[in-house]
Amino acid sequence: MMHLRRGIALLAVLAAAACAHAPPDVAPILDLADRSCVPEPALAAALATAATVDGDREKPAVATIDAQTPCLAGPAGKSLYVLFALPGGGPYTISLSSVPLGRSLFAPRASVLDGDGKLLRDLPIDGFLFRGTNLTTLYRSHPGERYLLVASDPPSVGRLISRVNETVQQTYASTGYATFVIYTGSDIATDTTWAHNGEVTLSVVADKPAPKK
Amino acid sequence: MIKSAWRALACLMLAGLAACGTLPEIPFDHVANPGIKKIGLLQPQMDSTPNVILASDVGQSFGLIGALVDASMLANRNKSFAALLAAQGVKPDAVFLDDVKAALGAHGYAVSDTPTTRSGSGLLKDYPKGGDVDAYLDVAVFNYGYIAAGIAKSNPYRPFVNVRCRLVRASDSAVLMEDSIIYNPIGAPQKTVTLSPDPAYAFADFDTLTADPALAVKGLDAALTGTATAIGTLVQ
Repeated sequence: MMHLRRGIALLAVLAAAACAHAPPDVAPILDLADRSCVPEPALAAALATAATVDGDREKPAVATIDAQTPCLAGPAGKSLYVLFALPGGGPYTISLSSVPLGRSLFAPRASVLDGDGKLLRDLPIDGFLFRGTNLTTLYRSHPGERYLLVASDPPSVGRLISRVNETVQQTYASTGYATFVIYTGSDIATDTTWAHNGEVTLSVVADKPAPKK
Repeated sequence: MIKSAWRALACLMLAGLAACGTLPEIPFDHVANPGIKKIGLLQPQMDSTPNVILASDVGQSFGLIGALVDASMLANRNKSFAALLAAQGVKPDAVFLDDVKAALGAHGYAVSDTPTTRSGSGLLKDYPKGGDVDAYLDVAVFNYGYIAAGIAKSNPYRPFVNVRCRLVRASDSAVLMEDSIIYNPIGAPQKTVTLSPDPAYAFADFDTLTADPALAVKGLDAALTGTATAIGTLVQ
């Protein structure tokens, strides 16, 4: 009986652990008609980032983009945006991710700016691919690239995307005399809407130093 | 049978390694490499026959005996599915090669076939030097076919592909791009491009899969094409 109780307790702990990281559900913002927007991003309000060097654990900068986030007026329409200030030095491998928040997925477009906020290049929108559950693009930095402007992409906002998530769970069970593992699968489709709001993360990772000779 | 079981295990292990971030993600720097216009496509590493995998079942709970039973069932499914493909005249490795060529061509690259001798199961350790190309693309397909997360009908068989790819400069074999792609992964490996399967190709069980060979082949083609398209995106 005691073993049975321990088994049930273990199952309860595992179930609780599985639920601990469920992302919050956030309603998508699809319309910015009532927002007043600026033509240029505010460089002074840029979010600082730090480079991860060899051996360090990545510590990405995280930005939540919501109704209070500044708005940018561009040729494609109004966007909510966040500006990241990139660390000096380099070169770096930079990873920009849009993290799903329940029903919402920030629709990203990204541009690399110089120290004066002048556009150097746009990152291709179709270069964003899902890595894990995040919509991500990777790129290499170059000298003089000081800011990364990340803004919602008006033409993409409102798009629906459905992704199939297949998983295998391990459940530990006990009969009181023996403990064994039960494997079960799940196959669930998740629907999200590309939105002006969401969460983005930015990791800046320095090249590993060349091995000593 | 044992080979198939190892391939299935290797697939799951690779997903695990990718999840742990042990395999590097190296993005192609087009700005720094504007001269890459002609790519020599090395003959991809890819078995000619796919796997039809049940990712979780009762047998896994019963140690070695369960594993042997699972391996036997896997071998039977693979044999049946290989016969289905043969009857349809389908050669997945040839399909994938054409898909990768088309994906590279869509991004403006000239592509030439590069005959390749392979001895291992992964990417090559050494690459040709020079030649009439600017870079070589090496692609290893670790596993592909159909996979179901579990035995219930709510866990249908869907096509999957698991690849690692690397672009190297022809002159000095410097790595210009390297990444992993899984079409229809089990779980959500973080340092890997994860492609969601086309919902049009879902089969409640193995009998349903083999009952419509044309649709089964179309599903596999969609997975191979989607994976090749992602490779193209990574070198754009």
